[in-house]
Amino acid sequence: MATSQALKYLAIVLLMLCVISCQREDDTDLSNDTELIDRGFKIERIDFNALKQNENVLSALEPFTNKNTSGNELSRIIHDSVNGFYIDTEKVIYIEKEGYHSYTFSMVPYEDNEKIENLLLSLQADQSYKAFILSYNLTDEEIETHKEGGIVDFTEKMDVKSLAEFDFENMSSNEAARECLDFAWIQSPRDWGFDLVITVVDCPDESNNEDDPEEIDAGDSSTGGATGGDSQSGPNTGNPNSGSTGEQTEGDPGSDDGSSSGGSTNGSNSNENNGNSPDDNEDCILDVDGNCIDDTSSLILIDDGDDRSVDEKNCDELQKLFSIPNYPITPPLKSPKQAIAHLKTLLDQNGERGYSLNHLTSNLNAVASWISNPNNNSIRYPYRQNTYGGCHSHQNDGKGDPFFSGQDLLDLLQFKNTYNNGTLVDPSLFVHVLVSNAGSITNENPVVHAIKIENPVLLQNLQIIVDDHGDADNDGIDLVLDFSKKIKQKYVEFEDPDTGQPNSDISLYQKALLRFLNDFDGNGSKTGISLYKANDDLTNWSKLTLSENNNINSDPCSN
Amino acid sequence: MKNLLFTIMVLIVFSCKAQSPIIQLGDYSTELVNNSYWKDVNNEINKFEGTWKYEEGNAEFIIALTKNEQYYNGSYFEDRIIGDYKYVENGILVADYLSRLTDSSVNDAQHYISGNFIVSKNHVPRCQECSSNERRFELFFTDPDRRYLSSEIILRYFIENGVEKIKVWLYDSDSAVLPYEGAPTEIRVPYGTYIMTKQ
Repeated sequence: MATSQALKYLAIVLLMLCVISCQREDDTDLSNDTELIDRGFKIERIDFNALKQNENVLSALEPFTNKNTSGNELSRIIHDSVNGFYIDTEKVIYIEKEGYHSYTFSMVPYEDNEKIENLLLSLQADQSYKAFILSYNLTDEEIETHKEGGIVDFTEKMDVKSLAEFDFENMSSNEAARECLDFAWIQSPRDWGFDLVITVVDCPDESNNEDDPEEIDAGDSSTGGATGGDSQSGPNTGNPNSGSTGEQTEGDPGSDDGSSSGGSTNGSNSNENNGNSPDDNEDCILDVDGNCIDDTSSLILIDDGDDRSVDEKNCDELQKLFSIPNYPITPPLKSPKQAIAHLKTLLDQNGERGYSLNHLTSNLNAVASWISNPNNNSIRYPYRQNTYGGCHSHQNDGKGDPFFSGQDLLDLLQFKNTYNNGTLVDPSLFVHVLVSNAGSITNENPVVHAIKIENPVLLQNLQIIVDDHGDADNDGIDLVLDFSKKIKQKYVEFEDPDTGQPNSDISLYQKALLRFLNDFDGNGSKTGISLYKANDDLTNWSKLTLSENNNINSDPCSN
Repeated sequence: MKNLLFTIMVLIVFSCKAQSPIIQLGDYSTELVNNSYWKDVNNEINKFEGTWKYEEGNAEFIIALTKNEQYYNGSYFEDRIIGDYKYVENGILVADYLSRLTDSSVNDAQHYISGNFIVSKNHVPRCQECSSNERRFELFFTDPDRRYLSSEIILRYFIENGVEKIKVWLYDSDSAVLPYEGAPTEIRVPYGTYIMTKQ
């Protein structure tokens, strides 16, 4: 019943007025969305800092954030690790009309996803926010048509999830709210877009089919069928002004008893046609005329003008490490390539050596800063918000395994969390480079590997591990120690018990790590990390993967 | 008769399936599949149980260890050493977590010393005095005030003049990204080697 109540007044009218391609050059002027503006809406793109000014929005986004994280939580808005996407807080559309406003976020998938998904946070009368996920299943042609201002029929291409009743911990498996909603696109006779009408239908938690006056059933709501319907969402709600976003030609406007179905009938001022008093719905925000202002959004396309795959981006960023800088670097700073080459000569020293990879704050040029590490066996990367990665060595002294440790993997997440105070940037930037010898006590065979972020959502899930140090959640398992132990366990197997030396066959470690990256807990959980190896003269990288027959595949970044 | 045979067959099948493979501690080549048991088959852990004390000048370092059997880590079961410690420097108490070892509110995963890796004499830090087949234990060591620093200890048990002792190598074991500017880079107990006597 709670679900029904929560959805009782649910109605969304999605005003498909604009397509905001996220190319930087055109990300400012949204004032051309004249239709929205004509109806009194103000629409603008806001940035992360502006978003942070609204504490209620932060509160509304809280379920999406990882708990117990340090730094700027909003920068790591993560949702639904199963489906794999994150919310890009740099792509926010702010829509405002009188006392109403909404925020629409781009939800960025990190694996191929046919759908375009937006998160809508819509202000309610009680000043809280309702959250919806709007999923668009558009073809490339439709996207292009839409970009160019053409009309696309969104009927059957749209899905809406109300997040009001979702268990955020298990969002992907919770279909309850989805099944409480019905929706339909209604093509506007005007040339600027479509209305989306959302109605409440039978909720799955209602086992009986009796018509409960307190329950929102299909019969109660104004579903309007495939041809549309009002945003009417139940008895006595009468959400009248969906028609304000476009005209409809069919359907009953809905009625106070909620027993009829249908849609709004007219265009920009449909409240005069719906048969409802504008004030019927006391749970909505009213405009100056007393009409409800429905939940309103505007589609954001994921289109940053970058068609490169994640692997291509990672390769490009890795290749930058080996490029000759076209800017001066003042010693003791080095270029990343110089730093890596330097580490290759230090493997016979005691204790790990390393550099942090930083962007100079003055001009964002990439440089490597030597880390003074006189007293420690292991490298300590300083805390710097301009550090996007690190490179360090595992020495020939055998104190470290010749390959990435569990903590080395988690460091990649720490770089991402720390850089620019955790504000989202392209995850392909972050890198952790390891210089080691393949089981030799001499410098005969130094090898350079790097780990990159292949799936930031999965990587971010490792934050749960980081935060569980000392079994913080008191479930009897210390995830961080367990994580470190399991990879270490794989390496110890290769050690020569007579000499204590690592195995000289580096592929053993590569395979062990790749298996671990793909299943770190024995239950198929992936780390979201990919592995690369540099060639000997530091001119190219190759992505390493494990084939089905347990061989190493090496895919060069540059052929 | 047919039913009896069927029942026996079913029981056999289920009893076989219920058994978890037991793998000896120190065996790293056998895959630890889910629900397997990494067991201290030869009771090598037992001799490390107890309270051990190092004392030199105004420094005092005490560790208390016990055997933790069939600990479930989310994937498989294992026998481990768990423990906690106390450290005093220049007569000043730096850390005292000894009471946690018997505190029922502290679960098995929350002790500041834990682990069960068996390593050889040549595993770094190496043990020159160890016999060729001597087995040591490598454990995680946590400073709860500086959890971002990964540290480990390796324990070697020996008897000297009839007195039970352990040699403890305490060292930083892994990389770290410091959590804030100026964050300490070492734990509060100094890295080094300690000879401890059983109390």
